[in-house]
Amino acid sequence: MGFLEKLKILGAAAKYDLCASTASNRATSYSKLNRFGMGNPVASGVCHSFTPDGRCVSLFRVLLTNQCSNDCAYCINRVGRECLKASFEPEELVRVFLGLYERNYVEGLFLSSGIHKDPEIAMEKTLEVVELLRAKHHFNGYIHLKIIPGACYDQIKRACKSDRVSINIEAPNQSRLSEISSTKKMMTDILTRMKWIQRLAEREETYLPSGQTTQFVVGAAGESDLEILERLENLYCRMDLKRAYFSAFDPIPETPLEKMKVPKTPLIREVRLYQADFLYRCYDFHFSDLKSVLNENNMFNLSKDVKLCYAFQNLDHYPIDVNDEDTTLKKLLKVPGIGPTSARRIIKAKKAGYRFKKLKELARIGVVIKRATPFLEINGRKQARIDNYV
Amino acid sequence: MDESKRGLIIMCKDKSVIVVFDSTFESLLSTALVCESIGAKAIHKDHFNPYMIDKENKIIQTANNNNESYIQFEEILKTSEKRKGCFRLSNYELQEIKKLIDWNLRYKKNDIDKFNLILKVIRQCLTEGPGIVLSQVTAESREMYKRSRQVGCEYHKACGFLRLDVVGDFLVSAAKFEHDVEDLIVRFWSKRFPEKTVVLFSPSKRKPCAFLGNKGKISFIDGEEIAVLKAKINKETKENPIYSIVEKDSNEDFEKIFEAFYDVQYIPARRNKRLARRWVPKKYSERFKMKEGTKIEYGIEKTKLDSFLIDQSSNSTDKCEVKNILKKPKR
Repeated sequence: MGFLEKLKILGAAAKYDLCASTASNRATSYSKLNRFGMGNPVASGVCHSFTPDGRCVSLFRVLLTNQCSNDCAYCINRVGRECLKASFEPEELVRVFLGLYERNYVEGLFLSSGIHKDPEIAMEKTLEVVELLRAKHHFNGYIHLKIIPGACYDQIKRACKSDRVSINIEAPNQSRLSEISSTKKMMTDILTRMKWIQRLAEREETYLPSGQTTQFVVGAAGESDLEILERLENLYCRMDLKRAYFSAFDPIPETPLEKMKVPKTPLIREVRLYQADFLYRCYDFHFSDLKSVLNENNMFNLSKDVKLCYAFQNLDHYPIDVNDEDTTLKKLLKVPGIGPTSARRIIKAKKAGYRFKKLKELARIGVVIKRATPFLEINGRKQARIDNYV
Repeated sequence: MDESKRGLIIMCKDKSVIVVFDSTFESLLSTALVCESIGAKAIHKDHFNPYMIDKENKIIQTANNNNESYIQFEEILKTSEKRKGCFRLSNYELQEIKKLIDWNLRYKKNDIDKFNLILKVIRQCLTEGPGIVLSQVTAESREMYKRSRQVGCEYHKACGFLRLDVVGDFLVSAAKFEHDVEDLIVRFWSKRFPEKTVVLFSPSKRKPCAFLGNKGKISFIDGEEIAVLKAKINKETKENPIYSIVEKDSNEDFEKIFEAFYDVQYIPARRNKRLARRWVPKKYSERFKMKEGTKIEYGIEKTKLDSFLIDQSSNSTDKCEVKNILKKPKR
């Protein structure tokens, strides 16, 4: 099989793994230390190419092999599914990746692999690629490596030399995971490895500048949003997770879930989960705040965004007076239509002694007025509510 | 003090003062201070003409020995005691404003009006406080931020979208730029590839030029030296036509490899035309491979990238000489 054929198979097999190019702080030491080799982990700022689904193609995202002995019911590469099988040799992959990197087609490498027979052998092969790049070719650019569930401690330690590692958790707990995979064990194969990664990154400063991430397959095992939130809380607090990715389940032909006619998860559910994740990471929300928004089925409201739902549930906290001295950054971030940037700008202007008199002034610094108006008080004026008249 | 940091101060007969400044950061700051303290008018040196002052007010003194302009401006900005009425700027604020001015100095190569805007904003900083500028409350500060975003956007797009060709030890590319960002782009590449010499050809309207970067050091050439460089690159191509890390593969092969890779990355079930249209430059939307046989519609908003990426058909003169440097458009 030719290289192009293999690339088509292994590139397509990796497309469901989510990743983003992230500049890592290795970049600061780069200019002082590395005067040879090639590459740096500084993000270019703009992704290189975009597919019609709107996602960027900035990393060279491939599997080393799509031969897999796991029986994950949702997976394109599961054992027993009839499809073309292929494998790259580490040298071959490194050669082509460096050629693409030199020509600025890609910004880094995202490497994963199917588990052919033994997880340790599969992990060893992927590590060989990383070590060839780092040691032989002095490649200092961005590498995101998938940790194979079941890899040993020593292998994980070596993998930590890449910029980011991730291990897919797929489902929020063991009972849900066992519904979609009989071979993966949540505690031993995934959580223990994540803990090792967290400890290694804590101990050694140079390890994993972009941290570790994980990915959920949303809706494949019939889990609720509450279960996902509980797992997320655990991962952020105990595993020092950098961020989580969510992939709405979409049945792939010739997989058990497709035969069982498990329905496709609406993409909007994925969006709501991302909103909740961002509210926790960037908007100073607590998980208790997010859980309070869930409906009786423990799911997010698909028709309203999560922050707006929170605001409606806590109407007594609003309106917030923008010019009030007690209005902190944290309070502003709870207002729909105000993001971290515009909230910081409001605080900065207030510190400089500026008083906002009109909504237009807020619009100018980036507040989405349409969403924010019902929850703001400005210069003694606020939007009237029907409650005031009833 | 370095001559370049001085401002030329002209006193006219009617006791009005004109300060002539250049494009350096120091000169701009000094000029802003002088204008603020003695009510002088400012003019950029490229626009200054001694005959512009009428006979009544003909120049009686042209000197650059006014102490006002020699003061280290950053010191003054930090110390409010030295100048009453001026706001004190913290280190962070100073750095932020300096960054803002630096990006604005790179705004549109031939636009002289940019200096007036910069001076206005510096004055606002001094009289009304840096917070007014940093939080973008005034129209001028917003305009400055808008311009700095435009310049930054062009720089980032170039870093992300420009393809490089490997020709021996050279990494070669070519692009037209609206703003002065070529040196930044070359610095970015030369840091990424310290063992290579990065060459960025910039066929500007006045004359073609090239920026070279090696191990973070940037140099600039134009005129006859351009022809010498092109000959050197062409010679390298002839002697060692397909030299790269992948010795047997050429630049075109990598184009094919990337095409193949790109084609399989799309998930049809997640098709999102609106999101894709937001990212892809209008000019290349026709070549953008939409699946299911549908072409993507043109976006309403103009994208700066349209004008800056060189199309093969639009540059026929350079095409024959440095055939290999002409970039195939990005998707």
